[in-house]
Amino acid sequence: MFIRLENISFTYCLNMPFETEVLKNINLEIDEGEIVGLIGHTGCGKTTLIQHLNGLLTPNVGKVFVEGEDVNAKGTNLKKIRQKVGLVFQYPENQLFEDTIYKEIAFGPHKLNLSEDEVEKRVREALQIVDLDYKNYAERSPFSLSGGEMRRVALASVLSIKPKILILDEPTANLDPQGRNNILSEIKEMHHKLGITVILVSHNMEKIAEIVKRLLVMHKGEIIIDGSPQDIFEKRSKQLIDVGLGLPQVTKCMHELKDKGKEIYTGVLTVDDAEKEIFNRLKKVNKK
Amino acid sequence: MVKILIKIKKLSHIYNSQKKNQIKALDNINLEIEDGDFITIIGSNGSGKSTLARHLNCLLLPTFGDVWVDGLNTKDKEKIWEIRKKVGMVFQNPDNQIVATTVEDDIAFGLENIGLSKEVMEKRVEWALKIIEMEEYKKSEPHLLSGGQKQRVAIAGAIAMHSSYLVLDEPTAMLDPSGRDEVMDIVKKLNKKEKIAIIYITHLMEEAVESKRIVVLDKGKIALEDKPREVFKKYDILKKIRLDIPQITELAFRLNKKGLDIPTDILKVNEMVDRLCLYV
Repeated sequence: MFIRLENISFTYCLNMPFETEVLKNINLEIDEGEIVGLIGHTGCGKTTLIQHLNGLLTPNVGKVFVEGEDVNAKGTNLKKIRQKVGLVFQYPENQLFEDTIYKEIAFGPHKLNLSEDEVEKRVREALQIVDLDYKNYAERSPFSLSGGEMRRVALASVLSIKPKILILDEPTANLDPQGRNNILSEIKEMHHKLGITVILVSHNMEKIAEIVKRLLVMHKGEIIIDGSPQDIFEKRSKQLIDVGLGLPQVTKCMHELKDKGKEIYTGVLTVDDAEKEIFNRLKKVNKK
Repeated sequence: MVKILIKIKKLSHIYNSQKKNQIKALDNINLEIEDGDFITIIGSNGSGKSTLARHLNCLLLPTFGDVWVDGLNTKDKEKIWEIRKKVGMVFQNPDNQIVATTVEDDIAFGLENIGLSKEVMEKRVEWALKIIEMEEYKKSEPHLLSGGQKQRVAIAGAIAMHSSYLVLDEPTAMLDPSGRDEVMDIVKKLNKKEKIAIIYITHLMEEAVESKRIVVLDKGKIALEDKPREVFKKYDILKKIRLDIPQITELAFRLNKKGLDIPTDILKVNEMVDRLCLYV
């Protein structure tokens, strides 16, 4: 098992007036090469949970294992863990600080004491993955970019340390529709090509559900649903709405048709799926 | 006769106009906002949406052209405060807009600054709290509220000034789906019941369909301006300028193309369901 959480509980301000229990007895296993969506209402504990995966937070109770290694045990090399587990925070463009994009992306590899040739190679590779042209971008200032481009540079600067698992916290927040689609398709392609494990964190599942194979739904510090997006949209839609998550428009449409007595499959994620289902249904109706 | 209350004429805005790296954010914009209007401004990142919004209450002044609010020119330095009283503004990040330690103090902040009496202030705060449906949170600490509630408090602070216009710059971008619905419900109510003109900026096409008119900005120019149904029919133009159409409208397009008698101007799920029920 690549990542394993055993009975994790976490409380902010433990034993203080503002004590807040954020994670309650979480058990979770994620395999190498999986692509997983972690969704939940604001304040449900998503961000707190992922900060446990590379030792930024230590659980009050329970254990975290990355490739079999106990992250919080004495003698664990946290630096090594953090190379394995790359974390891209919310609004990562706020963390940009170098005066050229090259230096920005080379910062991590330099800290790993790699040769200059290797560093350059990694910068080139990382830029290629996020679809920014090395020749045009390497010497520009990251602060001269658009919001979407800045976010891609921030992503590249995590990719350049070659993590085995990449965790992205709200990667599409505040991007326009096209920027949103671009960054998600880059993540999907990266997962496909490099085979790295990916965890996407979001409160907006419309787009996330399209690219992940497995969804984890968090509510009040617990993982309440774990399954494929199709299954969840088909069978647990009421529960999703109850915890404030809502359904994509096309899924809602299928559910409303079903509520009106129409026999139709409701586990649709995309406009494509919905179109197919409607024609399937039409074929059946016409036969009768 | 409809009264035209905000008038934007040949407005251009250039950032760094005295320097080398000039950026033309708005390019010859003409726009009129009428009494009781509800317009949504959409456009990709960098298209000039926020720049335009900031011209409505003197946060920015035109490089060229003019903006009038109820006949007052925003360039007139004497009138800045009068204009800002008329045009309330709510920004994206709820945490950046909260200034006081209780909800009622936060809503009263603007009122205190214009020197109203305690009685009037209390009345206005009560009124605003009622509109945002948060009367029971009067004494709560704002930082303990949810994102949607914080944005509603920000809205209350703006309308307590009795502003006739409310500009909301991506107010739901940082909220989850239930928070978004909360804010949208309040905004619709303000427009309908309180007759406040709304200028709403968003990236979410599902929100844009709620307004009376949509203004589509592209590279600082108005690319389209029409009713939502008309705007979302122009799928090709929207795609070209990096925008989406609502999922359900896209589904209508696809089904229509394949020969089903589904109108392409469907905007809401229930319209689609009613239509589909005739077939399936």
